[in-house]
Amino acid sequence: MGLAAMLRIGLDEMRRHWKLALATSMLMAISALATFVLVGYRAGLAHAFADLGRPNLVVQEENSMGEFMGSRLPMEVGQRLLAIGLSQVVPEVHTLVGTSSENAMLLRGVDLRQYRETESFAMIAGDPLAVGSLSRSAMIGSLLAERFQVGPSQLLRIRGRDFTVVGVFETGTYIDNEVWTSLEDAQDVLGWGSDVSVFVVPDEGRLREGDALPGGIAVARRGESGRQLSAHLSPLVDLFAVIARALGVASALALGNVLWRLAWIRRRELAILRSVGFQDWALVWYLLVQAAVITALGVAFGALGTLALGPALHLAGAGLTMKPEFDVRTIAIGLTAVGAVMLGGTILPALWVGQMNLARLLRVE
Amino acid sequence: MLSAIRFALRDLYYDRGRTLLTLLGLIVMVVSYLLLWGLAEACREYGRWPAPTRNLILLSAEVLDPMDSTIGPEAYRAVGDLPPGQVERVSPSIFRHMNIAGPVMQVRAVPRLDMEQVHSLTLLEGAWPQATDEVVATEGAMLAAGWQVGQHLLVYGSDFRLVGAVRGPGTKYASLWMTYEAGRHLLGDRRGDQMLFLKIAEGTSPDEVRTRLAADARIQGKYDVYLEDQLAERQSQAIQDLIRLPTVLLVVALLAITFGIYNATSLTLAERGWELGALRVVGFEVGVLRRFLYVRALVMVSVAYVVGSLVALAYVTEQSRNAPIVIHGAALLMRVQPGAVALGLALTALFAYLGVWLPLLQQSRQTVAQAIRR
Repeated sequence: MGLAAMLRIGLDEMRRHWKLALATSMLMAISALATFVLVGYRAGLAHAFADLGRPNLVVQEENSMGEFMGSRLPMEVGQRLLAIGLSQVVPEVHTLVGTSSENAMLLRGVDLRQYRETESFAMIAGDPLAVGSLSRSAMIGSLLAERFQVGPSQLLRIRGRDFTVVGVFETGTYIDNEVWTSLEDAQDVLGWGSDVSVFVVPDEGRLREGDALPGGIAVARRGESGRQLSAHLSPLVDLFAVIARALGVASALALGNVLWRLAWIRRRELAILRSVGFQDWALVWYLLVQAAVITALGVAFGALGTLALGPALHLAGAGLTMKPEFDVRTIAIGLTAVGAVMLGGTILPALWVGQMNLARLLRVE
Repeated sequence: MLSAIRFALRDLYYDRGRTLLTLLGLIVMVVSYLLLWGLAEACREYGRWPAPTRNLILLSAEVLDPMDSTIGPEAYRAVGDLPPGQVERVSPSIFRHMNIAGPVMQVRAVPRLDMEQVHSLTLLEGAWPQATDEVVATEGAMLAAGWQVGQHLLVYGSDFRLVGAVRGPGTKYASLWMTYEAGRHLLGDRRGDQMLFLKIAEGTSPDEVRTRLAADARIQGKYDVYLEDQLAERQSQAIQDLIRLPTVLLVVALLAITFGIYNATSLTLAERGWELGALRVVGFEVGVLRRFLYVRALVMVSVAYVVGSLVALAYVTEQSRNAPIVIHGAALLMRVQPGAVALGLALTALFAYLGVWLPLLQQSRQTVAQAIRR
C-alpha cells in the first residue's frame, strides 16, 4: 500500500499550489539553463580542441603558440631539419589577420603538395586546394563559412586582397575557423617573404617534444597550441562553473524550502497517513513526486530557454567562434546535475518528515 | 512602519529555520548575480586605458596583433621629418606574445628610460633592468605566474633574472619588460621593431600629429597610426565581445533572485492563510497585512543583499589579489558595482511586492469566513 496513493497525493498537492510549483520550477529552469549552457560550452571547447594530438611534432619559435599565431621562422630552418634526417618537413603559415575583432580570421598557408598528409578534413562543399590551383584561391572552414556567409565561388577579403573560395572543409575542431591558402599566397599577403610559422615533422625519434634548437626554436607536440588556447579560456569557464553551481545550490535550497513548507502545511494529514500504516519511505515518495514535477517543469523551461538563447550563445572573437554543443552525453550530464539539485532539495524535507513525531503532530489541532 | 519592521523581525525569528533556508538561497543568488555583473563589467573595461594618453603608435597596416608588425626605415624617416618640437620622444618597441609560465604574456623590449617616460611604468619593487639578461615584470604577470623578484626565468631559450616588479596601465597589466638592447640580443633583428611610440609634446595636439603622419606618402597604406588608448581598445575588442555570455547569465541570475523572493513571499502566504484570516477577524485591513508581508520580504531581501554583497566583495578581492584572470596580457578585474546592488535590490523589491500583492489579491476576494476555513 502506499506508493500510488502517495504519488496521487503529491500530484494533488502540486495542483493545489500550482502557482508556487510554477514559480519554483522557474527557479529550477534557471539552474537548468545555467547548467546546460556551462556543460554545453565545456563540451564545445573540449570538442574544438580535442583530438589535436596527432602523431606529428611542430617546430616553432620558442614560447609561441605557433599553430595559432606568434611564430615566424626562416625557410632555412626547414633545410636544417631535413639535414638532421627527418623524412618529411611540411612548412605552414599560421596567423591571425584582420583589422578588428569582427573581421579577424585565422589564416593558414599550406604547402599544396603535402598538406593533405598532415591534416585530415572532410570537404562539405566545393573542392580542396591542390597543386595547380589558381593563385588567390582559398578553402575555408565550416565555422568561418557560417560566420562570413561565404561559400564556393564567392570572394573572401584577406588583408585587403580578394580570394576566391574554392571549397568549404570541416574537421570538427577549432580549425574550422581557419582560411587556408597556398603557402606562397599567405606569405605574400603577410609580406613575410619566404618566412613560415611552423614546420610539421613526423615523430620519428630524431626530435622530441620539448627539445630546444639553436636560435630560439622549440619542438612541440602538434595540437599543443590548441591546448594552450583552450587553457587560456579555462579561467573564464571555471568562473561560470562556480556561478552555475551556486545557482544549483540556490535552486536546491529553494526546492527544499518549498517541499518542507508544503509538508508543514499538510503535517496533520501526513501524520494521519502514518498512523494508518504508511511507512516513512511512502512519505519520501510524496516529497519526491512533488520535486520531480517541479524539476521536470524546470528542465523543460530551462531547455526551451537554452534553445531560445541559441544564437546569443555563439561567441565570436579573435577569429574564433565558440558555441555550446549539445549531444546525448552533454544532455545526460546536464540532466544528472539537475537531478542532483532535485535530490539535494528533497533530502532536507525528507529528513524532517522522517523525524516527525506522530503523537505531537496529531495533537496539532 | 517601525512596528511593521519589529513585527516582521519577530515573525522571521520565530520561523528562524525556514528564514535561514530562504536567506541562504537568496544570498547565493545575489552573490551569483553580483559576480556576473562584475564579470560583464570586467569584459567591458578589459584593456581600457585609465586616462587619455599623449602617445601615438605606428604599426604595420591591417595588423591585429602588434607582434605581426614590422616598422621599416621609411617610418623612422617620416617621423624624423615632423616639425621640430612636436614629438618629445620617439621610442622603438619590440613586441611579442609569449607563453612563458602559464598565461600568455606580452614581452616588450624598449629603451630603459622610456619605460617610465613613455610607457608610464612605475617601479614597485627591486630595480629597473640594465643588463641584457635582466627583466622586470608587471604585478599582474608576477601574480599570474607566481614569480618573485630575484628569480630566474627562461625566456625564448635564454636565462633572465627578474630584477624588479612594476605597474603598467591598461593592456600592460601582465607583461615582461627588458631593455631594447636585451630584446635585440634575444630576438635578433630579423623581424625588426614592431611598434614605434611617439610621445607628443605638451601643447601639441596628438590628433594633429596623427593626421599629418597618416597623410605622409611613406606611411599611407603601409602603417596605421593610433592613439595608444585607441589601439588598446581595438586589441581588447575580442574579449569585450565576450560580454554577451556573462550578460545573459546575469539576467538569468537576476530572474533567479526575483523568482526566489516571489516564491518566498507567496509561500509565506500559502502556509499562513488561516493566521491571516484570523488577523482580518480582529480588524486588520488587507492593506495593513500587505504592508506587513511586504516589509517582511524587504527585510529578507535587504539582509540577503548586504550579506551577498559582502561575500561577493570578499570573493572578488581575493580573486584580484591572488588569482586574476589574465587574457593576452590584460586582466579581467571584477568589481562589485554599487549600481548592480541598487538595480538588483530595486527589481527584487518590485518582485517581492508582486509576490505579496498577487496572492493577497486572491485572499482579499475571500470572505473572512472563507479565509479562516481550514
